[in-house]
Amino acid sequence: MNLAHPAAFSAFRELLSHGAIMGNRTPLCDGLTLHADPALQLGGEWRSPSGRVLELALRPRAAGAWLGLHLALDLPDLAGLRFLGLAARAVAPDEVLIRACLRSGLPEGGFRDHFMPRHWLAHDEAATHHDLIHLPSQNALPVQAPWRELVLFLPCRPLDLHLHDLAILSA
Amino acid sequence: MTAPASLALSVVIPCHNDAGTLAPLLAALARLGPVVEVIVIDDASSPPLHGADLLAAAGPEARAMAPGWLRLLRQPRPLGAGAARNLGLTLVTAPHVIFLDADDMVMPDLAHLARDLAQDPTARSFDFCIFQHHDTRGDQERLWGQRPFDDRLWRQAGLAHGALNAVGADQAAALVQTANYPWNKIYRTAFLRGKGIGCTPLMVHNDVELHWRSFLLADRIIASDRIGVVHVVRHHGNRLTNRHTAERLRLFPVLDALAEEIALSDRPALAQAFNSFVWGLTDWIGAHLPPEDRPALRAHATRFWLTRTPPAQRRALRADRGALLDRLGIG
Repeated sequence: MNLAHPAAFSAFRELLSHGAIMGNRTPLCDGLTLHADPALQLGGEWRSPSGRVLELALRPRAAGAWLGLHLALDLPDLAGLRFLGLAARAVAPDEVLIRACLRSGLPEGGFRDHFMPRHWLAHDEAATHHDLIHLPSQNALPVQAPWRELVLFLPCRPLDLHLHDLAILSA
Repeated sequence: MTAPASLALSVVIPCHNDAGTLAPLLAALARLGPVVEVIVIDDASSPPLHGADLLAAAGPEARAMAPGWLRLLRQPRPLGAGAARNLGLTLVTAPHVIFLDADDMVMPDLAHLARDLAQDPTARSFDFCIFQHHDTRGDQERLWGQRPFDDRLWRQAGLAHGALNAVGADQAAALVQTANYPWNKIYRTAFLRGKGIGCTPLMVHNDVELHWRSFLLADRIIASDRIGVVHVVRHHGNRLTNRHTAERLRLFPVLDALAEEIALSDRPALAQAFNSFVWGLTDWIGAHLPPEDRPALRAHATRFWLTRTPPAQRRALRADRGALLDRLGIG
């Protein structure tokens, strides 16, 4: 597991917790945060059932440009790795298109995003999704980075998404 | 990390000559976590079940459970699963109970559900929680989960997704039409005892009464999309499900009593759902009954039509299920 806070994520996944969506930044557990464009005036609720990751009910009150679930990774150095990706299981009553991305912090500040090659459509049947980046063929991906995240970009509209499981894959 | 709070579950299992499937179920229940006692009612198996043999066959985890974890009682003659479940319920000491068949298999999500129910304020003081299951009839089609008929009703109720959802009255009127299984619900033991809810002591259809009276009398129902149990369906063999004899007609007095009780409850959606259920069940019984027993079925059905089916429901049935009525010789 290449999570920055594996124990916190594991406890979050195993224990029931819930709360309200709090505007542009909702911390869910150490290393897992929902970030939203403040313009969205995002409201809603979240719940993490026992043994599952997250049930999100997101209710923006206005239009906005971005909305993402950020999972901190412990991957400062990708040297020696050939593949990096995710495996997940999700369901959504109404279809939700998710774009998964590896975000690498830059030493001079800012970040660079590398999107996973596949689109991920959560739909009305619980389904497994997996996707991988082939690292040696990504010349613009920083091999060393001060920090990294997996970002799951979500549509900026009202949505319900149940993320039953999520794992980071590397080889 | 300390173990999260969980419901304490008692499991009641009727068993008639099913020791072979019971052993892996006991092993899984021992591994599951929240199961504090298992009450097996041996419904006159031949040879009789022995607790020590069952635990030995179930493996080290079951043998390591606390003394008294497995309680075994025997009915000297076969009375069916309903009578066995009722006897088991009288012995339950845990605050919550689940009825399983001896050839069911529990899934890890049942333990997660027990934790959610213990911890989530949504579930406070629930009377029963209905959860989803996998039916082995889907295996050949590589389908995981419930049969399409039940799945459609969960979706109709808007409850197809979510680890815990409170069930409103309209949603209950949809969910109550799912197959009348006893093993897809976690019950609050005091709810069943306090309301006098149990199974019908018949060899077949024992679970209709448990299912409908639970929905009728519950103040608080929870639904979960978790697949907690795998239910094995065998189309052949000596299973009671495959017994198609006139004893199925003994259900009709039970249906009469249920119709009466539901009518008195002033819950028209539930009453309509029950009436519709009775006609579907009657049609199913008729399709499997030997020809010599069909006149008796028709007599029961005619009486139910005349005494328990309101005019508006008759019109709806004629319009929507005319072929069913024709098959039964009704209307």
